[in-house]
Amino acid sequence: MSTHDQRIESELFELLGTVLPGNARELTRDTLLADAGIGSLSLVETVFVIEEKFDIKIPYNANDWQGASFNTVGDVFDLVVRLIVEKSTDQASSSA
Amino acid sequence: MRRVAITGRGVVSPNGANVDAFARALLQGQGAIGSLAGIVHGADSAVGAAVRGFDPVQHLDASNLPLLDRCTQFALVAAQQAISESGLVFDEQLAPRSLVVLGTGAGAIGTMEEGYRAYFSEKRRRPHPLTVPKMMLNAPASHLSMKYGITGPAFVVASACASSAFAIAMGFHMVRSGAADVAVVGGSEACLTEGGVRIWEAMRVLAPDACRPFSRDRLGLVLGEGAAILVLEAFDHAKRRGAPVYGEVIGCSMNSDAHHIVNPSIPSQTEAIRTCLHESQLAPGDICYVNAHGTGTAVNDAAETKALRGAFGAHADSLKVSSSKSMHGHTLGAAGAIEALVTLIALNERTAPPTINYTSPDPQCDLNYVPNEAQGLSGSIGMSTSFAFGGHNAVLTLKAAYAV
Repeated sequence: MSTHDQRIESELFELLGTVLPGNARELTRDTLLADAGIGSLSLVETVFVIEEKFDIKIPYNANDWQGASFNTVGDVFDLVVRLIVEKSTDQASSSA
Repeated sequence: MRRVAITGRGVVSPNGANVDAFARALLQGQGAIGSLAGIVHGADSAVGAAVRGFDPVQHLDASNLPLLDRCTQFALVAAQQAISESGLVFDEQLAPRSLVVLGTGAGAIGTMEEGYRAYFSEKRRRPHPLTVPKMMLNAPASHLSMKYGITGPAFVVASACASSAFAIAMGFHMVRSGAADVAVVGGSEACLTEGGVRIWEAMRVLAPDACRPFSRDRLGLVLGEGAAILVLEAFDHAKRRGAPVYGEVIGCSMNSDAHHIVNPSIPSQTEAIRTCLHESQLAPGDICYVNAHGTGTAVNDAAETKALRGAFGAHADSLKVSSSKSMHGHTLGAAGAIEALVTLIALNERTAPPTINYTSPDPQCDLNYVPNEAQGLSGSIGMSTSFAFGGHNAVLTLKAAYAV
């Protein structure tokens, strides 16, 4: 994991702490969202705060069982890192 | 206890500006969901079921319009149709024996939005002076009572997407108990505004293209707008004046999940359906058609299917269950009334309207959802279910005119 990714990951842990203040310290990449108490509503809120923080758009529809899958905290991190990389690549190519 | 007849019907819907047009569209499976580009500024990328071409000046006194939000306008136009069809005149005797109960989810959200935009964004010095009377949630019921001189109670109930089913239930109880002779009931919603669409979008529950209730590939609900009004009248009162009868409300139930602000409770929904059957003195086998809440969300449709199975037992497999939201969208606070009207139309036309956009079965949704094509009905009694955010459930049973 690059330093950049690590920084994003620590920022994400911090963010999750604001959504789930009680459980944040116990979270690891392997923590199941359901075990962390992230239900349907708090997942929507989590996606929202991540989008706001990193200025990205996460393709998440609460009804789409085959869409973006978030089972563990690590799933969320990986997707966010990928979206941030894609975004910076897009910006680099459009400014080139 | 008195029996409760339906002696007037009115509707303003995305797929029909009156009852006849609405019935034709429903039975032919004509949906009205489309892009909101050019209709709702700021929500161009969303789809919705808008009431297109609605010109309030054609129906309402132009001098009153500055006081009437689109939500109130829809309610008044639907009421005009319903009361005119009933032939009722609210004279000195009848006026105090009549009431108005309407439901709405967001009420005059357009007026609120305009006011906030003008004051906070455009930095106008003051909001418009008529904002309060125009936006208050009770405005549709108040204007209706004023227009027709109805002097019994007039009020609006709010139980989210079950609001107007609760309104019908309240009116039903008042007439059945003898507390009133006539109840003008229904609901109205005009939620297709920039903010109205964006707040639902933010919840991640809107389908990006179409509403596909009970279908495996469903991706959520699609917002709609409109109003439906029914005139409920004591059967003996209607008979005495030789009024036309379009059907009967047999019974209803209302309960609360006391569980979660958005997630449904299957036991509670099951109980609401069972209680409605019991209150209506009906057995499961008496029901031939259910107009489902059927929002097209992953969670609702699976939960509702389980509740129907739980309450109807083996008879569930003989039911025809459709979600007309696939055609007119989710009209939120107006949904209960619009769908009670759909149920009545289905029974009177002996035809279950289809659930359109149905592509493939979901193992969790295993009933006959009348996919894509209307199906004939052999019975005369149907049910309409409303299961709202907040855990508010209401279920109604209706009987066809020919069987009353």
